[in-house]
Amino acid sequence: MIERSHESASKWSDRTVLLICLSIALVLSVAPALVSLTLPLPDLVATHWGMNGQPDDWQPVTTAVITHALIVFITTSGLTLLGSALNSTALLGAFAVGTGTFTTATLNGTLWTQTGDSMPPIGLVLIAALLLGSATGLTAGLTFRQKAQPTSRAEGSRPRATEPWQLSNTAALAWTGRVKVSRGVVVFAVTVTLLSLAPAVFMLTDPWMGVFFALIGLAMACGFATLAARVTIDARGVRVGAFGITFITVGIHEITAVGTRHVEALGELGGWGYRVAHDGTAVAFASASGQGLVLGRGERKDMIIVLDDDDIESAARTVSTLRERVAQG
Amino acid sequence: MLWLVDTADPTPMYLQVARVARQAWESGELRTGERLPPARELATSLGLNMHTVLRGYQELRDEGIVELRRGRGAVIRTDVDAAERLRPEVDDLISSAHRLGVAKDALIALIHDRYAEEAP
Repeated sequence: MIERSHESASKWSDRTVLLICLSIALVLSVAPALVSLTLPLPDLVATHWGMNGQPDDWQPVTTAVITHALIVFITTSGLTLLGSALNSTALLGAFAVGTGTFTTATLNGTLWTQTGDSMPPIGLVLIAALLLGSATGLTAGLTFRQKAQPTSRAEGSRPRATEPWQLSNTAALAWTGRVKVSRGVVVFAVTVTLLSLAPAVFMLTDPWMGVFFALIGLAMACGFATLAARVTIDARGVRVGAFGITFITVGIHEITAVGTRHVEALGELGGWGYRVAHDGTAVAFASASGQGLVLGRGERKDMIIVLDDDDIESAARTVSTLRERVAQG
Repeated sequence: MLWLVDTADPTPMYLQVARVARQAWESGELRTGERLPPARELATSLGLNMHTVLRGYQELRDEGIVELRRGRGAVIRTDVDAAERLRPEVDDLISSAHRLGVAKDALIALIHDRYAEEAP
């Protein structure tokens, strides 16, 4: 398979992404804290709210500000360093930035709303923080994805090449199916979604809190539902999507090689869903461990899609056949 | 699931589409309750007219293999007799028995014996 070269100055190394995320962690923790200390806050500020959306704990404002800053810095930098350790700096770094923004917006937002005579519902603050955190996390993710440089392929992860079908030129072919989903992932997804939806039922005294938990539950349900994504292979390329949205596309012209190999979701990818392999040579969509359809993309990371064992051979041979047709013109 | 149609095949395209799905169902590759690809998407993938694919799905509906539901598309019926999937294999077995001169009673006895051997 293809060995990749090290990158030009326009691309960011993992170290650069790490330093950027740690700097963001520092800014997210310190800047809002400094702002908080200049605001006309009461000596005692509400720092915890009950399930009914009403405050039930108070702290001196300085203690609250310092505690908030520490929480934001530790969680954001901790997630970033974890990402670096798992060789998923860009992905977890973006998640850390989004989470850090959400945390700082929540913690400091609840402080800043206490400068007036009346406080808006805590649920509104949570929703605003969720939207802000999602936006910054997505922006960071797209930026890091664009700027991340490819890495060299490690030995031992080379896929088995597949032969194309022998078909006449008058035959049209396509392949449809779904990614492989493990039963454990389904049970986990349903459980977590139900747990996150449960508080929404009880937020009757604070509708905004109910909306916040309902949004969390809905986002989780949608996210988990994409784990059972459809895969389509035709003359245009390989596409993975759900709910009418395509979130992975590899054009036939982009594919330089095709093969299959076994993929361990946890061991190689660190989890399920859209992942970056620990050795940095591939990105993968895996809802279970199993046989992966490996699509070489030249200088870019390989794309691996884990399919059912019964489907992998026909899927790989279909890609191989379509590639051969493109090569023959 | 592999979808394969051939413009050189004299069989109408919609029947070729239906044939592919039927063979997948008979082999167990398509399971009960499973949804076929949306007609528009499959048509684009195979370079066919959407109505050609729809007609193929309607053919499968008329054979009792799929249900066409608005908003859900073509879904393999859950009330299809599973034993019907074995009909092609049974036909082959009977043909082989005729060819070898094996009587009906002897063939049925052979099937009974095999089931008995597999019982726990």
